[in-house]
Amino acid sequence: MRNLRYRWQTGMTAWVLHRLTGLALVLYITMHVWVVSTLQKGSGAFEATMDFVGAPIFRFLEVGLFFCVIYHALNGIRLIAIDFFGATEKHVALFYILMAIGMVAWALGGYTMINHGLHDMVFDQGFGAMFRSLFPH
Amino acid sequence: MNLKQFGTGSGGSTAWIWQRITGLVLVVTLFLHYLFLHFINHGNVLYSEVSSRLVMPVWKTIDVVFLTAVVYHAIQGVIMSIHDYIHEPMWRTVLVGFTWFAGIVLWITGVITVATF
Repeated sequence: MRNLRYRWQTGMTAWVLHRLTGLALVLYITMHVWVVSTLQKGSGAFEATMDFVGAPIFRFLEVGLFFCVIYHALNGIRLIAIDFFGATEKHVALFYILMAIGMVAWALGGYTMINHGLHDMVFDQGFGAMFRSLFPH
Repeated sequence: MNLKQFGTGSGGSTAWIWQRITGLVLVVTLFLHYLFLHFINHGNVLYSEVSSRLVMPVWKTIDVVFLTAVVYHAIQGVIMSIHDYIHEPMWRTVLVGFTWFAGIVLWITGVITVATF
C-alpha cells in the first residue's frame, strides 16, 4: 500500500469515483437480489419486505444509490468513448459534459423519487405540470 | 517456488471486452428498470404488478439477461479491485475464487426468483 500514489487530476479522480461507486453498487445489488428473492415466498412475504424497505430512510438512501448509478453509467460511457471512439484527448471535457448531464438527471430524478411525483407530473398532466411540480406547493 | 502467475495466463482482454459489453447492456436495462419501477409506477412495488410481468417469457428473458450482465460486471469489477490491491498470490486466488462463488450464488438466487413465476 505504501507505493500507492493518487494524483487528484480529472482522470484519476474519475477512476477513483468509478471504483467507489462500483463497490457501493456491488453491495447494493447483493442486498437487492436478496430482498427481491422474497417473491419466492409469495405475496405476503414480499409485500412485508417492500413495506420495510419503503421506510423514509431507505427512500433517502435510494437517492444516493441513484447518484452512484448515474455516475457509474455516465463515466462508463466515457470509458467506452475513450476505448473505442478515440476520445482520449477530449476525456477531460467529456467528463465535465457528462457530469453536467448527470447532475441535472440526478437532481430531477432524486426530487421525483422523494416525491413519487413523475407519474403525476409527466404521464397524467403533461410538461407544464411537471415544471410547476418541481417547486414545493 | 514460482507463484507469479495463477489462472489461465490470459492478458485479461476477454474480461475487458465483456466488461464493456455488459456495461452497455446495463445502461439500457437499468434505464428501463428505473423508468418502470421508479418513474412510471410509484409507491410500494406490488406483488401483483411484478408477478403479472414475470409470467411473460419476454420479461423473464429481459430479467435474466439483466441479472447475468449485472452479476458478471460486478464479479469482474471486484476482481479488478482485488488485482489492484492484493499482490500475494495465495490471497489473490482465494479472494478471486470467493468472488466467483458469491457471484454465482447470487445469480442462482435471482434465476430461482424469476423461475418462481
